[in-house]
Amino acid sequence: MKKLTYLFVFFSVALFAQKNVEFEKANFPDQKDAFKTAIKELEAGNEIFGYAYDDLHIDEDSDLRVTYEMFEFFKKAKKHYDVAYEFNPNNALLNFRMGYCILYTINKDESIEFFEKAYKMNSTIHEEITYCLGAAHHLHGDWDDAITFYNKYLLVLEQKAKGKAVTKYPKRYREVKHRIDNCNSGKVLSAKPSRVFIDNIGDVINTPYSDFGVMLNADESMLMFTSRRPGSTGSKEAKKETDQQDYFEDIYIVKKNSEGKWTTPMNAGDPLNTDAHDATVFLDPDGQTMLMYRDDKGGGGIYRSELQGLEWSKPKALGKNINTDAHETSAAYSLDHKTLYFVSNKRDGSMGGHDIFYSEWDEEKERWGVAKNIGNTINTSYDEEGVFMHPDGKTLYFSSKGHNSMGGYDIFKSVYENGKWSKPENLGYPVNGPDDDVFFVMSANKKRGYYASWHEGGYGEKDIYVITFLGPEKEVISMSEDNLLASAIAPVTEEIIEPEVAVDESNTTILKGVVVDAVTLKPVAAKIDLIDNTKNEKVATFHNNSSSGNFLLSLPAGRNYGIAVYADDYLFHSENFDIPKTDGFHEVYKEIQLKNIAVGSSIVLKNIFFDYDKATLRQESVAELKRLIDLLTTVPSMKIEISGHTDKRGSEVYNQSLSEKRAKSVVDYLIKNGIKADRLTHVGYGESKPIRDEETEEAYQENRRTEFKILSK
Amino acid sequence: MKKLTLLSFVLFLLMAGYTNAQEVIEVVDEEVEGKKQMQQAYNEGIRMLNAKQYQKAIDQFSLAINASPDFDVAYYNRALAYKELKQTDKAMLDLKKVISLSPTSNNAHFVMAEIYFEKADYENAKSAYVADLKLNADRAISHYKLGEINFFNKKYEAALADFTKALSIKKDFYEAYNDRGSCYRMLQKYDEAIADYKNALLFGGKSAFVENNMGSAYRLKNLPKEAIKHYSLAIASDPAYVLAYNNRGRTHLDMGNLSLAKTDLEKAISIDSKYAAAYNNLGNVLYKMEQYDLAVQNYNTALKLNPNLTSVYLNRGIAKEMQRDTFGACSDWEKAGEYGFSSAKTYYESTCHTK
Repeated sequence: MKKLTYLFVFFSVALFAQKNVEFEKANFPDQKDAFKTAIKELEAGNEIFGYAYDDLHIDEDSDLRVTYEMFEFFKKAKKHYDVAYEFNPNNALLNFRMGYCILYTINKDESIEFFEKAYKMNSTIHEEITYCLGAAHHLHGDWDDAITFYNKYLLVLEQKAKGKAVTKYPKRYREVKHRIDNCNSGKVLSAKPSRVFIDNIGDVINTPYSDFGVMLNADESMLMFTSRRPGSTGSKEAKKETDQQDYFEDIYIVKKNSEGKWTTPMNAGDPLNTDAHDATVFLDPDGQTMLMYRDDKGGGGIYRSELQGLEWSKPKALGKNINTDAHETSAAYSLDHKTLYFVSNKRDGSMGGHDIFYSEWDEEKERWGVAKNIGNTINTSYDEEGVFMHPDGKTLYFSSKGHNSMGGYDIFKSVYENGKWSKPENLGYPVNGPDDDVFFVMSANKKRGYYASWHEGGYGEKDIYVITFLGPEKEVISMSEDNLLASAIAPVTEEIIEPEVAVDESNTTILKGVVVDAVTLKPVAAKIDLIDNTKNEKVATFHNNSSSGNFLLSLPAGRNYGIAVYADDYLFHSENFDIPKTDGFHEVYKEIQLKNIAVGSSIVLKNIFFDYDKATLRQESVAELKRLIDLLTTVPSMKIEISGHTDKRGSEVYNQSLSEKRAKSVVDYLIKNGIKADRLTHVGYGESKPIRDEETEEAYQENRRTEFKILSK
Repeated sequence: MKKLTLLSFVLFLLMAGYTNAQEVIEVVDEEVEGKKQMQQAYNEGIRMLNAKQYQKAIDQFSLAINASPDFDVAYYNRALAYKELKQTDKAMLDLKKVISLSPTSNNAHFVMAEIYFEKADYENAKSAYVADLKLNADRAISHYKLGEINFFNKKYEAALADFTKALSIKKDFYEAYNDRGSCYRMLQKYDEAIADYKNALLFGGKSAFVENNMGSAYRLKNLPKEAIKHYSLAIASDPAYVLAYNNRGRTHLDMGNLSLAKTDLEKAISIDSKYAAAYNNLGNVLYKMEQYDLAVQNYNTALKLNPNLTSVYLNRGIAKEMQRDTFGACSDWEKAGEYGFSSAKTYYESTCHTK
């Protein structure tokens, strides 16, 4: 009997909890004042909610895109609803609207409890309730429940349109169908999660405000990001806009200290930050050039700035072929800066919404050429965003709502090889989730990615997260033991066969260092040409930092690189990096000491190559020889000595002869290309002047060389 | 284990058929009084040997040898007594004497081979078995032992030929079937291996170790369900047969049946708390269950029990990576790499080392 009483009480409470309680005086006879306050807040909330809801449903078949303004309205409405909710948590419509406000602002996944409550109290409280429940379950990764509710919503649309839903509500119908596809992709992708750690980058960088748009240089020693934290240069302007809850976007810079820890972020200040919105878009691997978004009294546009010494230059708009009346949000340079990839939403040839476009640099006109759509391998009829070109020069990361996204934007990668982009690959769960995952950047070694997201345990609004990629699963080795022989007591352990190991590595070498004066060791501002020796083509030109002398180059594998460093009044300096295609990831540090153009100065010509054991110049030497010719042309009075050197292997006589012949080959080439013979002498030193004494292949390689020395000028 | 002891005993009996003490000599001539005492001592020695009174047997055989220094069978029987007392050096001296006195002695080479075999001196054992087979070409046990020596030396084809020869002489030699099956297994001829293991069971009756071997052949043939069936039969045959628990556990692990794998491996450890391989495998199960702390604890135990299980370093490194202990993972992979695990070198290069 006692048990029955308990059951009765339990079910009574449960039933009462699910009963819709209207905001009517009669329902709250003893709470007159509190009722008044609640109604006041409810009405205030309803008014603001109405603005956002109406904007969102601008027509009967709108595609429910939330603008920043709507986002702010929903946030404000929710604040009023919170008060009303505290007074009466059992009103179906209020629960629905509370859920709605949450669904379209932050912590979206928390909307589910309100929608479920509203649905239990009144399953027809609003025609979108099944859509919202689908979306809320979707955000939780409850793929099957989400599909069930989305299908229910499709029936609502069909009933509304009397069986003609597809023609009457094409956008909504298509969107819901797409969401069902998203859920099916989610089921597949989440069944086999990627092996990653996702960590909040920490409260040194993140704040309770929005922190996002992270960009990094190739050695991950510096980050730039966008934040809407207090102290932004637009704070005053933000306050004037009473509807704005956040501060304006500003660019922040943060560096690692000697212990590898992030230091306190610094506002990038003038000229990068203005009173308007200023946001990060792209940072070159060397950290010397950046692209940024500036809200320039209109649709906004992409600007470029360079680090000149310690100061960023005044940002310059990229020109009318890039910035249009439409919305350009994201951009990235190719490694050689000859191509710009960017995102825009109103271009001729767009495949739908925001697409990725590219433009090529016109050397003659010194401007970006007409933008072209990157093509339907990458772009879909849905939105694409957040384009990022990896320092390997061929891997494009971007976000898309199409392909096999599991909801909102997912991050994809595609590799440009043999003249075409590969099929985009979803980075998988949990890097991607049911909500938007966008503005992703990858470290040069492909071990870490950075993006902004909302995750449980964050510091407030969007935070910056670091994703550590662990690669394919590492197989552990198990052991079997058997008494294979009848008379042998000791068991025989099975021969261990190691599993195949696949490691997704970045085949890129990061060359970083400093250019200094050989005598004073003070930094020198220099220009660095990167040459593909095999093709005798200049890949790109970079500048080191004029203040620190530091430089950083990203060298994708598979080429024989010549590097020439120039500075006014100095002899050029050359380096050679022959990087095999599957060489993995390396970081190399080099101090380059430039020598003055003075009598007696000599340099090693590291990009002069001969056929094996011969004095025949190889084709890969042309770029280096051209540099020498340029120098001799620039200083017509200069007389030089070309010397050949060998390592100590082989006979002394042979080495002497070979070095002489090689030096002569260089001189002959110079004469053939217009340098007068009386300015040139050649000499062979054989093995008599080694740079290094060790008997290692590395030392031998350094000792085999061609040098030139200034005899007079 | 019990079965193994029984098996050893059976083998001993098989062997004993060829090595039993020489028969008692009848005292024939009253005129040869000097010989009488010698013969009596010898006969007493035989009785003592059969009664397993080995020291007394040695004393009696020594008396006989003192009386007759060329008494070859007395040397032989004394060698058997020395062998039983593990005084193998003395046994070897006596056997060499036998061979010098009687080069065609039927059994001296065989006993000598057995002593070498027990001492794991397989090179000399092999020579002695070969010498024995020159005198006794149909001695199946010598062919069988040569097969084992070749197996130890990983000469599986040669071992296979030896076991086949032994089986041609003794058709129901079930140990030879088992061992030949193991040769086939090592040569990755799993169907032939399974057929031989079946014959071993046919002629030898229920046997945990043969069922276990059959299970492993099925596992290597990528038939894990069959493998589990035979490991289970091994356990049914001998519920304390720890290897079968370990093997069934790792097969469950391969199949992704983590809970069953864990139960088997814990059982293996409860039977033999010093079973390092089972700790390693349990570590692997816990790693797959994402219980990284427990996995590392088990790997630690495995290494403590057997520091030579070098693959455990590789496994522990993998678990430590998931514990976010990069330094520990790198240290383990570096060590595993030094032991020749190429995957460990790759992990180290890609995760720990920036050139």
